[in-house]
Amino acid sequence: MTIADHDMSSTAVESATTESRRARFLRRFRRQGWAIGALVFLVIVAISAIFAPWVAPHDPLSQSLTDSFAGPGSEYWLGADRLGRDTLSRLIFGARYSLLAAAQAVLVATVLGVPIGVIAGLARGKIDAVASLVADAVLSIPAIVLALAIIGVLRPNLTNAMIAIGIVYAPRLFRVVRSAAISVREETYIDAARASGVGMLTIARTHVIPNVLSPLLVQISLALGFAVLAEAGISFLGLGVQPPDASWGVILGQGTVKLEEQPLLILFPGAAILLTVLAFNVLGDGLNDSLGREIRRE
Amino acid sequence: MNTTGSTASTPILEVSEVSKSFPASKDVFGRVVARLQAVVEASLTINPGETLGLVGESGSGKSTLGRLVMRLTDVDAGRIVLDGDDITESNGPELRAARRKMQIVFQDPQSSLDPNWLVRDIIAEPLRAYGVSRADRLSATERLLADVGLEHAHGSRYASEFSGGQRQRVAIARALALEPNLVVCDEPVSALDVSTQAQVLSLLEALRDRRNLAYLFIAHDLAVVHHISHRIAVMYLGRIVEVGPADDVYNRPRHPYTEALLSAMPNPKPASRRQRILLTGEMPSPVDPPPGCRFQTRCAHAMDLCRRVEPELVAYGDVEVACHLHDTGPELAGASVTEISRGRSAGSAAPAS
Repeated sequence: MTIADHDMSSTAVESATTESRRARFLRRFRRQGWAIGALVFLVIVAISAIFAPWVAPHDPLSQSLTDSFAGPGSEYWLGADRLGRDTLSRLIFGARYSLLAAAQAVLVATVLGVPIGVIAGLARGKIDAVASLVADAVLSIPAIVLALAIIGVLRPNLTNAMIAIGIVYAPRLFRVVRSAAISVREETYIDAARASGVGMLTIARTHVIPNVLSPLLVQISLALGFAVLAEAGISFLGLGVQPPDASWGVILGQGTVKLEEQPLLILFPGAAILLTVLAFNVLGDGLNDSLGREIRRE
Repeated sequence: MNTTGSTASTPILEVSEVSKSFPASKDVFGRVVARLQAVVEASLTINPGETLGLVGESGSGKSTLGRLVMRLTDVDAGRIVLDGDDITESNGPELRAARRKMQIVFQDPQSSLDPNWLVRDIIAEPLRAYGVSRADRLSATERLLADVGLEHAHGSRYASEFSGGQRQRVAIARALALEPNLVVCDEPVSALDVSTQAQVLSLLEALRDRRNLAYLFIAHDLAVVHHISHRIAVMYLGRIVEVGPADDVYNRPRHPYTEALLSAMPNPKPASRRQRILLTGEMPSPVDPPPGCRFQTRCAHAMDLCRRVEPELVAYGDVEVACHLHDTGPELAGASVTEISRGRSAGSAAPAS
């Protein structure tokens, strides 16, 4: 069934090995030393948060006034607070609140930003104009201020605060997804799919979303970093997690009260927040470099 | 190959008086103040198994006409009849049914194949859209790969791993998946190098003969179009200026623009070189086309009448031409315009103006 008069050499199977998308990503990601370090750090934090009751050396709530302001040592690796609670155990349990809150915010941002971004990018016209206008308006609201306003109307509650953070962050994801969708829309394979009777929803699912995924993954990593910081800020102000439960922001906030007696009380939660936010950003950069178009260097 | 295609009773495609314009500029309130006339009252007929070549410079509206036929862009006016069914206003299920009968191959196989998809999935995409079962899709894909001269192993690769010619074979396989009667080939070989062009062209010819396909073959290269087409239509600034059997149009151009296009072609046999006609100036803007004949600003034979009255397509035998030279002035009445061009260069009287 081959055509007689075409040159077979042009269609001979090339020797170049077929590299799957995943293999290419892994090969490139492996070169990103810092990003791998960040990923390892985040995985350790996440695992210790999930298995906190088994990982933590102490009950984070058990008080021991004789150990008040204990310095780091063999009993309390990172010291103890005013009530003699183990700082390391509190940080491990606090990671649960901090990471969960960040995930909530990013989930809200994704659920809002991604579908609207795909629709706006594909539909253009009035739908796009309205969606972009709303996105710009929301983007102009400072995240923390909106979170505080919502908490003021409702009651101090971390979930409400993180939903607010998610809403304010959604336009960023919207913009990334929209611009990726617009560039995909210009590709003729979209026209080819339309000409083949493929519906717009299927086109969005099969052509647009996969092409949007790479920049989206990068943005989600950055968004998680932002959300961890936002949660810490809100809880620091005492409007997020309510004691005796404690997220990193709460621990940091309580540490400032007796700063002059034990400065280490703000060092460790501060470092936990800083390293986690940094790790999400470094990971995002690493993903960006591994997922984007390959830049060949000789 | 240049015999007229089978003349069955119903044409596979009938385009009549189709027009399309796009907003070219807007004022501060977003109101459209100027429109770009991409296609103006264009009419075409293609019979089953026939190839109609559509030539013109870039910007002449030929690709837009192809998109209008495919219903990728909506027409402003006119009618598109596919295999006896008016699809001008079709939408939803009606349009989906029509799409089975016509498919398109685009110019740039780089952009027309999703880089995230395996070749096998690209070829099967139209089948999936019409609910063909997975097993049937797989066997159909294998057949299509073989039909376009690709191998089984090519199916599990990404399009980015292929050369331009191979990519275009994939695009052709996808276009054939639904077993259409009409394939719009929108400059299918323009992005390829010359040796690959020949291979893809002979593939298209072989597939046409085997499957009795009709092609609307859009290109700017007259040699390519002459090679593959039964009939040729020449487009200038959104209007069709000449239509006729391929050999007629190629050897005896009736319209001065066709003649200029032909003379601009590189000729491998210098001895038989035609006289070159250099078109002066740019193609006028389709936003602001000249009055009268659209070609008058660059035409060596332009008369007063040409600057005032737009010529209509008039049939002389098999050939239709829209040019005043044929009904007034020298009254060529369907004869080749080269007659008077040759006369002019020999120093005899210019056509009356």
